[in-house]
Amino acid sequence: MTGRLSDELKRAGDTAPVFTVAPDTYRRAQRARRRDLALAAASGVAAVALIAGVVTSVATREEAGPLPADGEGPIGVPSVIYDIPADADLGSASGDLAIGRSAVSQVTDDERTVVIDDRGGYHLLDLPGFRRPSSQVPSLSPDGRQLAWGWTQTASSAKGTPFGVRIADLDSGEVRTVSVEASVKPFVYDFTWSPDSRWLVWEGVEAGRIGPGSTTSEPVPSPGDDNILYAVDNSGVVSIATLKALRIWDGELVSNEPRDTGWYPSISTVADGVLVETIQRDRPDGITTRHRRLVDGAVAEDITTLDDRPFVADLGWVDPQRALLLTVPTPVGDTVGGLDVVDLSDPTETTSYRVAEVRGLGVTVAADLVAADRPGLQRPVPPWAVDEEASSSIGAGVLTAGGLSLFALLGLGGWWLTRRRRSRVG
Amino acid sequence: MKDEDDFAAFVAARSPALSRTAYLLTGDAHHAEDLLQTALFKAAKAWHRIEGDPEPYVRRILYTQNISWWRRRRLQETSLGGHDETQSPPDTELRLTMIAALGRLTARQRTVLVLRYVEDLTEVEAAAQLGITAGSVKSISRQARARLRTLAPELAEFVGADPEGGPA
Repeated sequence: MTGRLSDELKRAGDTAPVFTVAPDTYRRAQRARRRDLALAAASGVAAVALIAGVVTSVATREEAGPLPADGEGPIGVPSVIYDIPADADLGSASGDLAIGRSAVSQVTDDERTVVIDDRGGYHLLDLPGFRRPSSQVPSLSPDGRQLAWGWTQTASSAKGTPFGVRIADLDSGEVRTVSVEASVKPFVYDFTWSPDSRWLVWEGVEAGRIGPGSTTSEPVPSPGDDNILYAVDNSGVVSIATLKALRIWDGELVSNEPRDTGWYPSISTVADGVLVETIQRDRPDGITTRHRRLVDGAVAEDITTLDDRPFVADLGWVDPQRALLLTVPTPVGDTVGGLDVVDLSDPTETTSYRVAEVRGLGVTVAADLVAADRPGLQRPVPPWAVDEEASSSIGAGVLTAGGLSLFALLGLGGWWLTRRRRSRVG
Repeated sequence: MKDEDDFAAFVAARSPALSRTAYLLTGDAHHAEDLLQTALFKAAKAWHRIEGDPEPYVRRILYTQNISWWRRRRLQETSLGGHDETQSPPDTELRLTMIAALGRLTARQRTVLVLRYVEDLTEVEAAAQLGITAGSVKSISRQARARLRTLAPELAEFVGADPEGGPA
């Protein structure tokens, strides 16, 4: 189907005019480059003048609170998951992965892997075989005790390059290496865990199932569709949702249920044989969202219909009745979203509450650390976010100073005018 | 002089293909011309540092610069129809619809469609070009195709599933 889209787009492109490029482009570019070099040299002088400001900034950071790697707070998920800029000072990346149970894994703006432990400490990790740019997000298991990522032996993306999945035990630091026998390009970019954190399905150009403690991967069907989503239950049974069907697979295809077309699925395993599916349909004025419970691949219960609900992705389950969802206003371009718990126990009414604000990219969360009576925990603001707030404060300070100056000038002008009038009157 | 000659030869050889990409990326002939000119200007500045084939470098500038412009200007994007008005039906009607619908997508949606379905990159390769995750590419592609179907229902058979096919 999308082959026809490809053909049609290419034909549309054939109507493009050929633009004339200015013949002096190269010379202008070289002049601009020389100008940039001169400016860079001049800015070196200005940099010296900034040193005092940097010293002040460091002092401000020290006053901001404990460094994020010193997490000693209560156990849970932080109430704000911050974006981590490329220049965030997290120290050196560590190859020691014995950091204990963790709450969040995320990637920095330059695709380094950071894990926030269950007490709020930040850990920049050096994952063996993880290469940037990788376009993958290392995935934290629901119990927060394992971290999975794709590895490749070399930086080559050519077919035949050895690759696979590595799974770190975050208590012991031991890493399990799973090699994938595949004749395809060596990509791994998404993971789905079983609710008990024992089974793992990875997705790349192909997909595979990894059993508890196993070092081998069993190929899982990967239907030719751009919208494949996997879920795996505690017995290792894999559900595969596409736009056209829901397949149940356990070493062989168990069922293949055609689905209503036009709904984009997201699925989560609640218990063996039981899925809850979030399906969404785009409308010109918003998104229609429905949740429904499926037993052995068939729809057992429509839970509710929620119109105008933002784009969601199922992250896991707090308990059999409460789903953990990542909610973003739109899936395009937005980096601010929320970690929401949605109570689906009442088929006629759905209630939800927000656990955390998500400002970061590539976030996975240990669902077991989210409980109905344990919303996100307030943690110290990390220094890079403090800097942003400090910038706002400086901006506010400048504005205040400007306002005061203006006020003083007006006052001075008023005093001068009054004095002048008095002297005239006098 | 050699670098300048190499640059000129590259521009002469690859302008048609790059123009086509810029046109699909921007949804507007004038913006496409600006985009191509900017990308080649930036490439020329860094020409001495480019090793091997410069085309991937130039294309990456096209993709990211286009999104960057769109973010800054939040352009009210219009259709590409102007360059195709002289075409005759029936086959070109479909193309016109596709072009008009394309022109109403966001820059990022269009960029993902171009990378996936015109440049034939995988999700992972497209993600690497744009500096985003493959999951985001998947989501954006999904959104883009859904929006194409909404804007031009007659394209549904080309784009994928029918959005009105399911129960409300």
